[in-house]
Amino acid sequence: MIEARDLTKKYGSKTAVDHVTFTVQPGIVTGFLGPNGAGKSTTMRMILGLDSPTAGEVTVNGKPYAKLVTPLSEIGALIDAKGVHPRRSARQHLRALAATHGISDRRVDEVLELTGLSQVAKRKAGNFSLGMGQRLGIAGALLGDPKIVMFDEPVNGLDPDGVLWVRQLARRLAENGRTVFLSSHLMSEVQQTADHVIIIGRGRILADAPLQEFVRAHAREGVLVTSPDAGRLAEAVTAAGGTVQAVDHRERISVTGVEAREIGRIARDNGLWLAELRDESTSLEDAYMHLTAEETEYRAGVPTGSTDTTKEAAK
Amino acid sequence: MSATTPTDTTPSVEVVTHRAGYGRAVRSEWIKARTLRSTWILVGFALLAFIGLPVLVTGETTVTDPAEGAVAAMHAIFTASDFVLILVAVLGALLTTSEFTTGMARNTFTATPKRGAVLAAKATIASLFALGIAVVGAVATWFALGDKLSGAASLDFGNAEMVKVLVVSLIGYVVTAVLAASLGVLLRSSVGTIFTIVAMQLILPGILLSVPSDIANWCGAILPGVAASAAVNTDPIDPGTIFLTPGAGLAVLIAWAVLPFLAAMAVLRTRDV
Repeated sequence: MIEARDLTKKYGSKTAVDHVTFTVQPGIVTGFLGPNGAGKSTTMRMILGLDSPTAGEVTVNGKPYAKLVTPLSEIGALIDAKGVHPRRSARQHLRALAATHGISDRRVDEVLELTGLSQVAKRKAGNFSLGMGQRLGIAGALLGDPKIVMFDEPVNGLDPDGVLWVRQLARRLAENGRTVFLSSHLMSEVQQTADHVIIIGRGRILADAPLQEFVRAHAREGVLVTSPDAGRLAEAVTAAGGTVQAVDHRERISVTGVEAREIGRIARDNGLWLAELRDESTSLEDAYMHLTAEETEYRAGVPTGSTDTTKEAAK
Repeated sequence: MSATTPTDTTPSVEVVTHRAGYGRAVRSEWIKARTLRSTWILVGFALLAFIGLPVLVTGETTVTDPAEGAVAAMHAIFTASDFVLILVAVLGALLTTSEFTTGMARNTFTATPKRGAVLAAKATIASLFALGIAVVGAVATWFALGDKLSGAASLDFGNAEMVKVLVVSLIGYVVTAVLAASLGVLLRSSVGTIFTIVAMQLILPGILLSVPSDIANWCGAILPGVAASAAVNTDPIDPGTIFLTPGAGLAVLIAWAVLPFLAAMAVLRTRDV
């Protein structure tokens, strides 16, 4: 379990993490979601005691990181896949880490096997692809058979095989009762793996909820129809299996369960007048984008009016 | 590389872990140092210079007094120290700077959160390499010089002055290694650290000791290399020249390891990795 209370990190006048409070529970996968520069990595570095908080505190299994006697058996972290000496072999890199805890060479070979690196264990880490580097980082994280695993952007630069592998690994670790904490800037990624999401933007927690709850609260579907023949159209749509809700205006109805295109066809077939037909569905990606829009620090200058293109891109 | 499905994440046997402290940090640092080819290239060049230079420059002895001869012989063995110490410094500096330049520091300090223990372990490994180079180099040089160190110029381990030259030289090697490792933590830059050591060892003594300024002379006199020669000096000091007494020289030499080490310790504990 990771518990952060009022955790704050300032770099000069810039606040990277702003009074963040959250708990990461064991037995589930928690996704830590936010745009680049939102404070995810800084938060993770503070969890590991690499950066000291300006205010507040964070504990790992009830203790500040520096007080852990055998940190590698409490929490295994992948913070930066490039954080390895490029001219040391993968196996020797892991042996050096293992030596700090008196972990056997047998365990080193086991994590190499587990991450599929046995064949390349003698190669220099600097010659590794980004994907192999990520695996080496994960191998290091698993060395001490930790109760918590924390991966910062673990699927960055991985091929589809690798992405699937990380997802399965995360699920498996959580099923074993471990605390799994993964950061990502992609909603779609977290959606596929996490049970719980913590969303951060500009250093502040914007949402902290079970994924299902977040989906219910934020992902809507529905088609907004404006028609002078609303009453008859509602009947026809209901007959086609849709659910119709009345909206404030008497000419307007909201339809779920039938797509906009289909509603248009129903209207034509019944000779009904359609004044407006608008898809109001929002995907989780849209909800996340909307939530973090104001909080995104480095926003691309998207000209107004091209929102449709961004929506397409997000899908 | 095929992506194997993670079949089972639970280890086949329980993973036994032990307290992450200084002792295990030393073992970890030893693995790190010996698994880099650059370490052994530096050791190789250091030994080559250590042995090669005296062999090239030492002539037949002209001394007749065995006491004086023994001291001169020991100095002859350590002829190449000015150069070898630079290589020792590079080795010591790389132990710490490479952590920061490669990002390995994040792994190192998550594995051993006691930062002081990590620095102490690095200083230990740097010192062991320095001592190893000095001892192996000195013994090899002794053999290599052969006949040139015979007769009145033989080593005599009953000669206190000669033993003192040996001990102070070895201390100088350890001091340089610890100083370089500590500076590496303070500067986090290989080039900066190595340049600083080269300046202190080779450039500054000549300048500071020759300019007509007391302050500059004092600064020169307390440089590690100058302090080391003061520590083994047996000639009377001319009144008016600024030069440390042997006792003060030794103290200043040791301070060059202790003070930067303490400063590095303080900085390491407070600065973010």
